Amino acid sequence: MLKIAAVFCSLTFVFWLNSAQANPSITPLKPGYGYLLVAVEAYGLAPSKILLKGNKFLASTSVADLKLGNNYQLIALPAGEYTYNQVYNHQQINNETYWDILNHNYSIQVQADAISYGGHLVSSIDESYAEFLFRNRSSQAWAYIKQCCSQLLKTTAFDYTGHYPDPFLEILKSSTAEQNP
Amino acid sequence: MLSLLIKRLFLLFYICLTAFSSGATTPEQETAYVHAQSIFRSSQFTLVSTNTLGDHISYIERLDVGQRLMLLNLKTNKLQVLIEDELNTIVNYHWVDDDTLVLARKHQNFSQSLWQVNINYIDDNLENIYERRLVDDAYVIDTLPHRHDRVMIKNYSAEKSYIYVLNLNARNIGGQLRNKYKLNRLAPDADSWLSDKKGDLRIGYRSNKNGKNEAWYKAKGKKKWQLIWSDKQDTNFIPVLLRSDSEKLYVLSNHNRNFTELLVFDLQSKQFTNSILKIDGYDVETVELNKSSTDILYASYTENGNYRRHYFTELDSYLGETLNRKVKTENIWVVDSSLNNETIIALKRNSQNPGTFYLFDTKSWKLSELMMTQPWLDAFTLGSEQSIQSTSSDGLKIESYLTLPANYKDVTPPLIVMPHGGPISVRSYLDYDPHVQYLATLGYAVLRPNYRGSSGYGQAFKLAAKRQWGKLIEDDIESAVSEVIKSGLINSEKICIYGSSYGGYSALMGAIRSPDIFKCAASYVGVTDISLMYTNDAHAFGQHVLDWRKDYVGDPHSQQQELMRQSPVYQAKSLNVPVFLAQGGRDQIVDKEHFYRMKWALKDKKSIVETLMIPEEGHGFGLLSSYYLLYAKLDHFFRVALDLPPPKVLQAQ
Repeated sequence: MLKIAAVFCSLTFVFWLNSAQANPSITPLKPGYGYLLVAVEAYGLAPSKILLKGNKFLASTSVADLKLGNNYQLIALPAGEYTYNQVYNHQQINNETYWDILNHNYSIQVQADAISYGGHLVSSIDESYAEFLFRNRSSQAWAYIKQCCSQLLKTTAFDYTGHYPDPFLEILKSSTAEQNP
Repeated sequence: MLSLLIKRLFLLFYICLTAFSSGATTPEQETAYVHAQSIFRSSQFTLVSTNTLGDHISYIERLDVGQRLMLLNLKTNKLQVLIEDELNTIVNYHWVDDDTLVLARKHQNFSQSLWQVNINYIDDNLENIYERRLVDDAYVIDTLPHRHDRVMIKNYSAEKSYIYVLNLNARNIGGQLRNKYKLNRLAPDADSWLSDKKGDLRIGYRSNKNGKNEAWYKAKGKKKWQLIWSDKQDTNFIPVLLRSDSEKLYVLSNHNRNFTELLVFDLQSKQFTNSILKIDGYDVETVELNKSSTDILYASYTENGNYRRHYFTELDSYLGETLNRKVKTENIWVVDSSLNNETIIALKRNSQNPGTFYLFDTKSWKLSELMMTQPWLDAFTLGSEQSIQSTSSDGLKIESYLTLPANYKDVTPPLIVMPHGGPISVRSYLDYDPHVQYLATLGYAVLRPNYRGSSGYGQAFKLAAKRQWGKLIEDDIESAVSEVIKSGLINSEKICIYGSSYGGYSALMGAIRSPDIFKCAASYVGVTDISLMYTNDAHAFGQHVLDWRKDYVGDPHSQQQELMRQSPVYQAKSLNVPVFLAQGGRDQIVDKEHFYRMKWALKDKKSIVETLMIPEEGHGFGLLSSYYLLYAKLDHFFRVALDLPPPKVLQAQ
C-alpha cells in the first residue's frame, strides 16, 4: 500500500513539475524547455480548465482561470508536441464533466528556448451545445505578446509552430523590429 | 408593481438598444438604412402545400410577431388558423395523408424536433387538432405515400444517422426507435437513401467522404448490400430514383463526360446503359419526383441564369407548357401536388419576383393566383436583368448577369461588380436576389460574372479554375466588365467591386490588379491571406480536404511565394483605392484573422479604409439588422468613392 502511495506521490510530483505555470518574466527557462503561449477565446460559458497532453510520458499541462473573451497564458514546458486534450465544464452543463477533444488533433509544437504559438482554441459552450475550433490568429497573439512581454521578446523568439508556414507573422515581426531597432 | 417596474426597465433597455443600433449609421446613411429594412425582409408567405387528397392547402404566414400555419378548404374557401407559432419554430412540414401532418420545429438552442399533427374535421371544417412531439434531432426523408400513416425519418447524431419508419397511429413512438428498428443498422455508412414502395431501403450513397463518392445497392428481399459505385469526388453519382418494376437506377452523373446528365445505371452490370436527359452546354442539376415517388416529374437545369424544368411524361409536359402559357413565362414550375394530381401548387419567380404561388386545378384546367411571397416589393421599381457573354484572356466564354436600375435610360448608372463566393461549384442566377435589387433600387447597375469554376457549366469549366485564385478567375471577371463598358449601358468611370467570401477576396485583388477600372473595393467576410486557409484547423477535417485544397488552390509547401503574390495582405502596397472591410466575429469559414490582417496591412492608409466588425455574426450575416447596417454603410462608401449624389430610392410610379 505504501509503495502505491509513494509511486502516486512521485507521479503527482513529476506531473506538477511538468505542468507548473511559470511567469516567463521571472522564471528563466530550464535547458530543453520553451514557452507555450496558450490562447483561448471563450464564448457562452468559460471552461473551468483546459488540459493539454504532451507526447512524452506525463508531459502535460493545463490552463485555468479562464474568462469569457480572449485568454492568454504563457507556460514554460519541456519542448515537444502538445495536443488539446480535455475542456472542463465547471457548471456541469448537459451533465458533462469535460469534453474530450484529443481526437481533434489540435496540436502545438513547443520549441526549446522560444515562445511557441500554435493557434487560438475557440471554445463555444452553452446549455445544449459545445464546439471547439482551432484557429491561427497569430496577429492577435503577436499583439498580446508584444504588449505583455516586450522584455522577454528581446531575448526569445516568438514563432508560429502550426502545420504550415505563416509568412504574415514574419512580416509583423520584421515590422516591429523596424519600429524598435 | 414589481412587474410594472421590470416591464418599464425592459422597455427602456429596448429603446436604448434600438437607438444604439440605428445610431451606428450617420444621418446621410439613414435613407439607405430605411431602404434596407424594406428590401431585406422575410417572405410573408412560405411553404405552400396541398394535402394528399387535394381538397385543402396549407401555408405559413409570417406576422409582425411570430407566424401561423394556415389551412384553406378549397371546397368552401374557408380559411382557418391551424397552428399559432409565436416563436417561429416551424421550419418545415409534410402532409402524410389528408388529415395528418408532420412538422419540423427548430428550437432556441438550434435543436430540431418532429411533431405529429392530426386534424379533426367536422363537415369539412377544421374542428380541432391533436399535436404530439415525435422525435428530437430528426427530419422526414419520405412520406411513404403507399403506406398509410407511416413516415420515414432520419434521426441524426454526431456519430451516425439512423433511418426509421414511424407508425403514426401507434401510441408508443419511443419503442419504434429501438435498435432493431433501425433500417440502416446493418447497412453501409451512407448519408442518403432511396427506398422502394414498401419503405425498404434499397440504395445508399454518400458524397465527398474521404475524397470519394460511393453507392450501395440491396436487392429486393435480400439483406446483403453490395458496392455499386466508387470514384473520386469530382465524378458525380447521385441516385435519384429506383424503378421498382425494372430495378433500374436513375442517376445524375458526369461519369466520362463533361456535363452532368440524367443516366440509367444497370444494377447487375454496374454500368451506365443510356442517357435520359442531356442539355447542351449545361449540367442537369436536380430531379423532382412525382407525389407518389414512382416516377420523375421533372429535371432542372439553369439556362442563361434561369431555372428550367424538363418534364418527362406527355401529360406533365403539357401541364408545364400550360403553366408557361398562362403566366407568359417559363419561370414557373410545380412545387407540390395532390396524390391524384388534381390540385397543383405552382411557383413563379424570376429576377424581379421572389415568388408568386398559384393554384392549378387540373379538373377545370384553371390557374388562379394564391399569394405573392413579398407583396411590399410592388412599391419599388426593381432592376431589369440581362445575360452578358464575354471572352476571357485565354478564350474561355464567360456568362454574366447585368442588372440595370429602372432609370438607366435617363441616368447612366454607376456599376457594382459582384463576383460570387466559392469560387468552385457556386454560381450566380438570374433569380431574385435582394442584395442585387437593393443596389438596383438605389440607382446602381450590378454585374455578376459566373467566372470559371462556377457550377452548372460542366466539368471542364470547373477544372479550369484550379489554382487560378487571383489569376484567370479575375481575368474572367474583368472580361465581363469590359463587355459591359463596351455596351455603353453603365458609367465606365464609376465602377466599384464588392463581394463576399471569395467574392470579397476577388474585390480586393481586382482593386490591386486594376485600379484603373475599380474605383473602390468592398470585401465582406473575404479571404485576405490564402496561407491562413491551411494554418487554421483545416487539417482537422481530414487529409482529403487538405489534398483538395492543395489541388484547387495551391500547395503552401511548394508554392508559398505564389500564394503570397495572390493574397491581398501581401499586396496591400498596391491597394490605393478606397477599401471597405466587413466581418463577422464568429465566422467559421473565413476567420476574423483575415480581417485583422488586412486591417493591419492597410494601417498606413487609414484615410481610404472603412471597417465594420459585427462580433456576433458569422459567414454571411444572419441578423436582418446586420444587413441594414452593412448596406447603409456600403451605399455611403460607394457614393463617396464614386462621387455620387445622396441616395434616392426608385419607387413604382
